[in-house]
Amino acid sequence: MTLLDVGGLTVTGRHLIVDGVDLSVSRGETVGLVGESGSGKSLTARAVAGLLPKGLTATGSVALSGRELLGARERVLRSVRGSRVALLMQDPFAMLNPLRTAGAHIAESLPRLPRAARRAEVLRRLAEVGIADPSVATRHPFQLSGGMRQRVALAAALARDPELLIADEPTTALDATTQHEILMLLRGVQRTRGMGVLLITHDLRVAFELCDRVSVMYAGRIVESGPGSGVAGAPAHPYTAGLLAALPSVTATLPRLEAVPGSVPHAEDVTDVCAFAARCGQAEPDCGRARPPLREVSPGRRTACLYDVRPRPRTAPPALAPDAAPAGGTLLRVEELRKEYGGHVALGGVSLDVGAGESVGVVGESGSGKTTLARCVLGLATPDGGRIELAGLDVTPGARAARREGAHRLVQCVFQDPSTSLNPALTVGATLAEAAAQGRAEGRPSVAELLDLVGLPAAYADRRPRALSGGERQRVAIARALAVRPALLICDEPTASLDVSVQAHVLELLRTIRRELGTALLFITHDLAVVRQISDRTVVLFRGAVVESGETSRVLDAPVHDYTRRLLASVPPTP
Amino acid sequence: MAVLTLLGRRLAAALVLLGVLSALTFGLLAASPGGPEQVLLGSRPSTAETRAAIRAEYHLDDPFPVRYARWLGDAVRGDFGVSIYSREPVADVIADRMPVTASLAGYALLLTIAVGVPLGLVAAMRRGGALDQGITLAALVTLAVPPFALSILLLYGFAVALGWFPVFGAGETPLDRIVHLTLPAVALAAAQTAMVVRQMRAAALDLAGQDFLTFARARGLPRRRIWLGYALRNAALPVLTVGGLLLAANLTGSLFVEQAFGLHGLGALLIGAIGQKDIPVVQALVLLGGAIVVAVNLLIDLAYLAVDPRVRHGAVTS
Ligand SMILES: Nc1ncnc2c1ncn2[C@@H]1O[C@H](COP(=O)(O)OP(=O)(O)OP(=O)(O)O)[C@@H](O)[C@H]1O
Ligand code: SF4
Ligand SMILES: [Mg+2]
Repeated sequence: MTLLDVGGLTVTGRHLIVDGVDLSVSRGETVGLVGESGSGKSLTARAVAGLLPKGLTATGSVALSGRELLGARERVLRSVRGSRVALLMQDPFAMLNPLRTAGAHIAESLPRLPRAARRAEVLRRLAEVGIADPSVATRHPFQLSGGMRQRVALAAALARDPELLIADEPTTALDATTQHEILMLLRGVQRTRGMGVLLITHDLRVAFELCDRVSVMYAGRIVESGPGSGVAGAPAHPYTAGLLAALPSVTATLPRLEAVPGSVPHAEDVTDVCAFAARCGQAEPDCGRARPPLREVSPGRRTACLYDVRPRPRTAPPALAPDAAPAGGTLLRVEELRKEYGGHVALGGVSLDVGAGESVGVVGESGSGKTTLARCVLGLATPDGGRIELAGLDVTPGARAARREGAHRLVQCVFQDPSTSLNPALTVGATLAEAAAQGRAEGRPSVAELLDLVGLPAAYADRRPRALSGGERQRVAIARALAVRPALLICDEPTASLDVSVQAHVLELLRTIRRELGTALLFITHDLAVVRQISDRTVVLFRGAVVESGETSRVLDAPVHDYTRRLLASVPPTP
Repeated sequence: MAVLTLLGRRLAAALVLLGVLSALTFGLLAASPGGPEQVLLGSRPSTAETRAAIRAEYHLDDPFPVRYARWLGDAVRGDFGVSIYSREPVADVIADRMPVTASLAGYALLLTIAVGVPLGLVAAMRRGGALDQGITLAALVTLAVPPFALSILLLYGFAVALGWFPVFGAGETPLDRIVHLTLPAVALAAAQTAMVVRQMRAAALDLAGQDFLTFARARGLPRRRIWLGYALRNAALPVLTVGGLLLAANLTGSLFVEQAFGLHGLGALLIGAIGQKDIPVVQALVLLGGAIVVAVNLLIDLAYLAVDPRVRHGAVTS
């Protein structure tokens, strides 16, 4: 029977944010809600739990086993929360009270019990979420890793044995391997308890792997829903099809990553038309006349598109052999690089080479030393030992300072978070002109050329970063890095904070730049599917040491080291 | 371990601070107009003999560091010399005035916390509502009224016109003292309460947006647990800091209020001593004030240690 029934849910703040969402979750069922950042997933979840932030209101209907929750009194809601509906939030680092121990979080959520029994119960609950070590109960959140915190939070959320768990991106802030563990844990707990789960995620692969049914959200509304395998195999909405095409594959290097052009509109601007019309490749005049209803295409499958999805010319995946590494000399040589931070070994003797025009991927989970490596090569951190050579020059930071002169013309960097790496006070044009002025005078690219290089209109020169989307900002950051025509571009997780469709754009751009300008790439990422698309060779870092390296296809298809295998196993299959 | 290093560091810093303050205070005498003899003579006739006697009594012919060391040694033992005005030991003079100021400061702090914290919390809970706006406005107005003016208003209203409270003096028996100190404590606490209200409201609002508070609500925890165990406890630290500093300020003398209510406390003593150029008393009061501020800061650090496990384990340095 249906446990949760959401009908026509709208959330309004100063603008309309969620526009008529229908959802249902049955007992023992896992339903996925997927969509890009800002599509309204989190607010839908919070509206269901009656926990909307101040200033936002919900209308429509949220029924739990037939009982209406929307507009119910706070007292009623409080009796439902925790005991019938639990909400697990996105950021394990912010979800626990920093002043209380892990055990206290679980204990306070439990029903009343005598003291001794409560302690035993806390340990039992920790064991349920895979924490066997009883001392964790007495630790404070800051003493636990992200994965551990998420486990503790899950145990606290489940303490009153709710029938429905809403998990809002429970793994987004975690490492690939930890992510996988938590998702498997969630699945295990869901199965043993027979709970209903509403899993919110922006990761299509996660949704398809874990969920019985999936709803795709776009600009505040549901555009498609159906069984996971069905949606993955034959998307019934052009948007879903676009997202799937943008998804990089871990098993094959795709000849072209298809991005969805344009960006997500505000829910409010598209109430009476197809929300996707402006970006849809098969739009017809009809699409702009009325809002397409969520129509049933086959039992259990619904789409908000008026037409059948035209099949995409899906090129056979293994079409692209990795670009033969250009036969240049060695551009970057790192030898036995060591760096410690107060007794913690960040790099324990790392060696790697990047040839001219070559693309090398560095993968590993957070804390494996990836970023430290990049910072040393850029001269932003001083290594404790080892050597860095760029185009034959010794540029080891701290060694001979004079030699670094000119190194910034050889190597440039693109960072993870485009919103903080651009100066918000400067226009895009000023940022780019300033960067270009650092390079040699002859052949200095103009602002318009740089914008053109990254596929942005020249008019963007007058905008400030605030007025750009995440993907556009990242493209500006890339243009800035390219302004001095570096021989090597270091990319530190450049797509980690971007949605898949935007990620496809940026990855495709980097591939083009490499092909056309011959810029070598040192690409740092935790995402194996991304590394598959972008690099010739791959180096796997684990706890500050290289555990495996070689041709990307060899490393990913026939991993030798245990850790590489573990990383690969944690990637959900690409639909 | 982290706790000990933290405490050690703080204690060392406190000692250095007091050392600097004491040197400055001592310099006060040496640098006073007419030289130390003139000051120490006070109103006595200045003849060659009296001056020589003073020089001998205070070892004024010794080099400065030796004099400073001797003075500091005495000061540490509580001997600040003799008041030039009353010819009584300075320590006795201060001990005589201390109780009034201490009870006034404690009373005012009690009022401040008892009224300020709940009002701040309520304002945050009802953010944007009529209650919040009323509280915020009242806090603003209170902050704008100078304590001296408020003292006079209170005196006129409650002591003169209504006759509920005595007009001046500090009272003898404990109960009497409470009655006598009520109006001064209110006058002193008003602006401070307004500050605590604003601080508490801001801290609680900051918390309200935090995920862990939403998560606590999502688990259906009772409202009391959320407000006490989550909001109050997490907001306590900034409020504690403000409270401590207010206490230090009150203890070192609430000049205007003591003056207005005719209370013979440390504030009144300081004003008198400055007027009479009674340098030993001024020195002792300045040093005492410094010691109180340093001690209160140490107490705040201890409170942080008690409340915040991250500080306790050295994960962050406050
Ligand atoms: N408290 C709020 N007040 C007003 N608008 C908000 C508030 N919170 C979020 N929004 C807006 O509502 C929209 C949807 O936000 P929501 O957090 O639900 O997105 P999401 O799908 O969860 O995205 P993400 O994947 O980034 O978490 C966004 O445009 C956001 O700017
Ligand atoms: S309704 Fe029209 S515009 Fe909208 S997705 Fe379908 S074809 Fe594209
Ligand atoms: Mg979200």
